[in-house]
Amino acid sequence: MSFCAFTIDQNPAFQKGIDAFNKKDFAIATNHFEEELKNTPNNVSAQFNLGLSHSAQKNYGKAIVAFERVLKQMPMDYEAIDNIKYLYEELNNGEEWTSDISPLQRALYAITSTTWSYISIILSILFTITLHVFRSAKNHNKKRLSLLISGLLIALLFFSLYTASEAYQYETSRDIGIVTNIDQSETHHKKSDESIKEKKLPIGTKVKRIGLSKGKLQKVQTKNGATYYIRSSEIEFI
Amino acid sequence: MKKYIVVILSLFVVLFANAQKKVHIELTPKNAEIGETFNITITSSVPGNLNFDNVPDLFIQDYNVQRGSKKSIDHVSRTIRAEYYYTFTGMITKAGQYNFGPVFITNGNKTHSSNKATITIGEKVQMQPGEVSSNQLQDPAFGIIQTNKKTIYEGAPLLVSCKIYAQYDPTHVGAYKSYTVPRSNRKHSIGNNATTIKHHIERFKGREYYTFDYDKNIIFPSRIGTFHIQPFSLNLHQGYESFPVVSGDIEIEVLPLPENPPSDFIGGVGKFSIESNLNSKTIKQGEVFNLKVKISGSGNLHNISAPELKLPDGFTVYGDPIINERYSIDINGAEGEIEYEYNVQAKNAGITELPETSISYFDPNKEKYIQSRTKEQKLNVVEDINFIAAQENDKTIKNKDLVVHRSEIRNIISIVKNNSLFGTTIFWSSLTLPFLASFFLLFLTKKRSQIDENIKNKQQRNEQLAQLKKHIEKAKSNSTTGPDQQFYPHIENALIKAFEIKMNRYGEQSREKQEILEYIDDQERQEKIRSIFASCDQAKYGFSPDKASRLETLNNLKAVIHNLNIIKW
Repeated sequence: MSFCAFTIDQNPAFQKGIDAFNKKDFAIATNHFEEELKNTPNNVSAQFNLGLSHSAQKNYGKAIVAFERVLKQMPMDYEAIDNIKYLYEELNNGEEWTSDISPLQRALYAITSTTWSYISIILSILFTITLHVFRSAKNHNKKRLSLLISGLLIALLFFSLYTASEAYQYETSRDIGIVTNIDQSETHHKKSDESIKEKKLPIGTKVKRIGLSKGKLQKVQTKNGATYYIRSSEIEFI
Repeated sequence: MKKYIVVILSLFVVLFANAQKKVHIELTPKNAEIGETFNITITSSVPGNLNFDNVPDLFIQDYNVQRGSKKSIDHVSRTIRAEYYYTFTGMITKAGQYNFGPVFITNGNKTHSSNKATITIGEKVQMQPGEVSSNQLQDPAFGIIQTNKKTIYEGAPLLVSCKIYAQYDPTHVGAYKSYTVPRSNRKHSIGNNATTIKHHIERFKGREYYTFDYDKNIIFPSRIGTFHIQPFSLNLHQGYESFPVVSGDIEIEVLPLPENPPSDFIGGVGKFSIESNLNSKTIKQGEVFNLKVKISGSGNLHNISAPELKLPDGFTVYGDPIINERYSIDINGAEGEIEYEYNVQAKNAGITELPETSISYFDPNKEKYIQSRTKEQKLNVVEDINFIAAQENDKTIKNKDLVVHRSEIRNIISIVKNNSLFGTTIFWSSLTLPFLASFFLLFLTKKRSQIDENIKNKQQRNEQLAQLKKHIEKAKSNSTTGPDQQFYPHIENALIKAFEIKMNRYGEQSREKQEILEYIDDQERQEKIRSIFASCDQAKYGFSPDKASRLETLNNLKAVIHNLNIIKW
């Protein structure tokens, strides 16, 4: 994952979205930003602006999803975090924003799995060089120093490999979902399974997908471990 | 015409002035038990003589009468108002409902009358006493803490009081230190804590005592589990004499309410009812009407939460409800009513049935949750064209103007490329390549050094062979002629060199004789080698050997070298 910026001339839908947003036609702005994201799914600015448009129309669930997707792509976007926290306050349904990762992980993942991969490759080259230095060194002190550096480099190599793997998981996993809509006509539960709760999940609830059941019902788990069945139309994964 | 106006205005002024002069009688609490002291408070805005005759026949008035006046500023009219008050206390010894008043205040020629007030006297609440020790029974006086229940549900009212037993006729109480309850349980005093006492004679554990109740309180335990009410102490006087009384404690068990309360549970424990009232049955579309929901009953009324209104689409509740609390704490707990006044706007025209509002509370006597609900009410909302137009206009501006943005919109496109290098073939190849290259290099280096060593060894072997041949040639040429010093050293050097070549020990100096002998397994050859070394040593340190001995040594050397198979002799 790497980052680059473009001018808006190449993306007319994005420009139209901004124009509509500035005219406070938020529904139109939403459509344009969604169109832009269909063409350029990795346009973080369009995703962010989509969140603002949904928020302006009080579609808080969808707005949270948009900002969470921004965070997925740019974990250190504190403006997106600020917006999500504000949206949960506006929802005022007992739910509050919880981060899936710690601040340290956020900082590490922001470097991206690709960068960590490059670091791993460089470290592996340096490690082999120091090994050769160790082997060919005749001086005892030089041998000891090269051994120490080799040890340090192999530790760093494992750390960067692990971080690259975790960052890759974070970037590519699509298991975390947000409840965006509650259809009051049907319940979320499945009576045959005793562990499934009957209570409806409020908008903004963050859940983890643990399986796909029949009838387009998603089997999800809340942060406190309770399992629910929720219809695909009521949830969006980030 | 002017005259009439002046007369009418004067009449209004007089009527208004009279309306302000109020005499009011109030009883606290509104429910008491037989023999319980209650207060009668009469307030008046005019001074005068009080006529307090309209009291029930069974009312026993105390000597305790307070009277006085207090002044307050009316901030609306900016005038100082005087209020005169009279407070009486007393009790009634028979259950029933009793009316007090009206009372009259006579000021000059004018008499002002008050309202009527009612009190309900119930049967004496059966109290359960705490423990009494045998030592206490020996004392001239002792006290116990008594409660109406020892096991109650959380939130339910608990009646607590002291009971004092004395073998002498007590006159008053001094140095009273009340019983204590856990901090979470606030005590609500409901009387019987005057220093003067009203006692009666009662038989207890086979003996007659002067006895009286004291310091009656209601508490609403909220924490489940058991707690103790800690002892009280006092000095029980008879005139100037007194006896110190310390009670025991009492244990109360607080039970939790049953699990899974109904969704409309308002936290009430006791007995409650709900009713609602509309201030108007017909309103204009867009108008705000007043919906009052009243919850009345007894129990923990003061701790209940507001009921949740269920209104159909098109009705909006503005703000929090205005809460009017009218309750008092008496032996039944908090008793009275709480009224919630909601301001609701009707946005849709038509006849609408406002759905019933329900509450659930826990009845500790029936030990289950009980639901109470209001009746459905019809409301006629008359269409208002102006409101509809304003509403449409609102819809358009609402979307545009009433939006608060948390952040600025982002004008610059930022693309994050998602094609991660991690996990790809290029990544794993690039990661492992340095290791593979390193191993390959290591292998090559090792092979190269092995070849170099072989060449070096070969060169050294050739050199050694050349030296061996040289020593043999010299020995051969000096075998018959020449001094011993030019024969035997060459023999010895040739023998050592031959073994060095055989043992692949290039460049190393003089082999030990013993090492050479150990290298050879064959006994016969060992003897030959020993003989060669002995001849050489003899020539070096002893007598010169003869010519025949030289030939024998040379032949021995030939035999040994031949066996070593290094060169052709």
